[in-house]
Amino acid sequence: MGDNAVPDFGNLLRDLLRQWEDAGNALGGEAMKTAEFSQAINQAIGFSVSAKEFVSEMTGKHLAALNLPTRADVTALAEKLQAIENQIAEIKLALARDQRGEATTGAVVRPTRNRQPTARQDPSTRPFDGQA
Amino acid sequence: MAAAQAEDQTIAQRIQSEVERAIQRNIKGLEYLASPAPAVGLTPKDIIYRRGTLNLYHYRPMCDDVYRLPILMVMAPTNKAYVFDLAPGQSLIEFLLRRGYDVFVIDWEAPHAEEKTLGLDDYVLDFIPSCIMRVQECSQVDEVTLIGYCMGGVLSAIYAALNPSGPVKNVAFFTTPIDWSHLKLVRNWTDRRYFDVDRLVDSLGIIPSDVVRVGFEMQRPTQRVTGAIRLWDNMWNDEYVKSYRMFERWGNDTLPLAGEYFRQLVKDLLWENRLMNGGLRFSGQEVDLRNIKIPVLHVVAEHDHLIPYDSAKALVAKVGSDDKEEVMLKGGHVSLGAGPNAIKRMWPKLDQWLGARCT
Repeated sequence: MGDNAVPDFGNLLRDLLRQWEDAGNALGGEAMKTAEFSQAINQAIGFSVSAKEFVSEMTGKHLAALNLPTRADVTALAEKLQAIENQIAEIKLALARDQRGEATTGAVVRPTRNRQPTARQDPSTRPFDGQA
Repeated sequence: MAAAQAEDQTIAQRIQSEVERAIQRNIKGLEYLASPAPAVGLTPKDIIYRRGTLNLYHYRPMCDDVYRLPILMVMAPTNKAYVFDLAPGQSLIEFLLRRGYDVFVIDWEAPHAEEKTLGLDDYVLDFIPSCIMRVQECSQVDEVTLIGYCMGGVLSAIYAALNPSGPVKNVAFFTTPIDWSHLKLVRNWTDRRYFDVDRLVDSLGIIPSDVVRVGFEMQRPTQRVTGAIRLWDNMWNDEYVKSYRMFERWGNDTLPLAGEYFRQLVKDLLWENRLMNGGLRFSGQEVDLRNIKIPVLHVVAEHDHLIPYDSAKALVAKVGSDDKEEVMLKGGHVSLGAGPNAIKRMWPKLDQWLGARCT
């Protein structure tokens, strides 16, 4: 008599979960490979896109009637803002480089680039043995 | 008699262990709900270039003497690059820095509405060359080694094929799809008989991150449920919970995609399989993987449900390099680069391969 006689219910449940997961993934995968699934999901996407277009159009008309900016107007503004933000980011990066002395003096401490691979391998970087 | 006593003791130990775990689950479960997600991407770095969706990081070298060639990692536009810098000791980037490499990383932000027209050509002909130029300026070395992950690998492969005369000296790929005919599920969902990609892209502009994330998750339909159950089961185990939360955060940080980029993925790669069959053109130049003649390493995952091996194996077969190698490791699409097996197997292999070629 030993451990084998005493069922480990935790491990049994974990095994069941693994089996259910494998079966569910396999079953779901097969179902999603069918043409019917593709047709159904794309119909749903089509309805969703149509609804979105309808709402966008109606909202746009109402906003125009109220003399308020539409999504397209806001996007156009965002585009201009983004261009300005990009320029500011570039200026900030250039300033940061200047402050570190890279641009003007080249005085920033850089590592040398002469490293060679060592024959010695510590345990954490032992050569790959091809066994996964 | 002795056997019966031992059995009683074993049962008692198990019950005690389960009770202790149950208590720990409750205590730590409350901590889990109350605490923020763990910090990620902590290895010191500087942003040396930023433009819209694009960020180029330079990680601060950790050795006084580094390999001559800098490394430029190209992340897939669907995900954040911190998967390679999750936590100290669990960071490929930190590992490479400690092994003496000069590391740069292309990371992506969610594209803004006005970036909906970004296409594959913007990534390949503009973003990657611009970043390589910055890497060259920063390192004062003309040549670079590229490392591309998933779609970052596809972008790197296209760039390397279009620029056979340099400046890329070596290229390593992680789980990179080349033959898209084997992406069965995604191909079925985007079946051209039913899927109107033009209408979707024209209507949405930017493909929302939820659509991209659900697209990934649906390929393992039980994953979310089983993940939550396993989390509860392991709630007593701090390391498991921390790792789960980091990967969960990364999964939830899936990025939206520029519409034009998505349209090209569907039409050129999923429908026409042009990377495999030919016919993918940028600025009039055809992408021919045989033009890649530099050293190539492709690391693939045995249990990759997103990029099956049949889709990835064509890379090494198609490139024109004499020095080319494919390594298959146990693990999945993400754990390949960031899981425990990656630390034990992939990282040392990558170091060995890069070290011999980055001098």
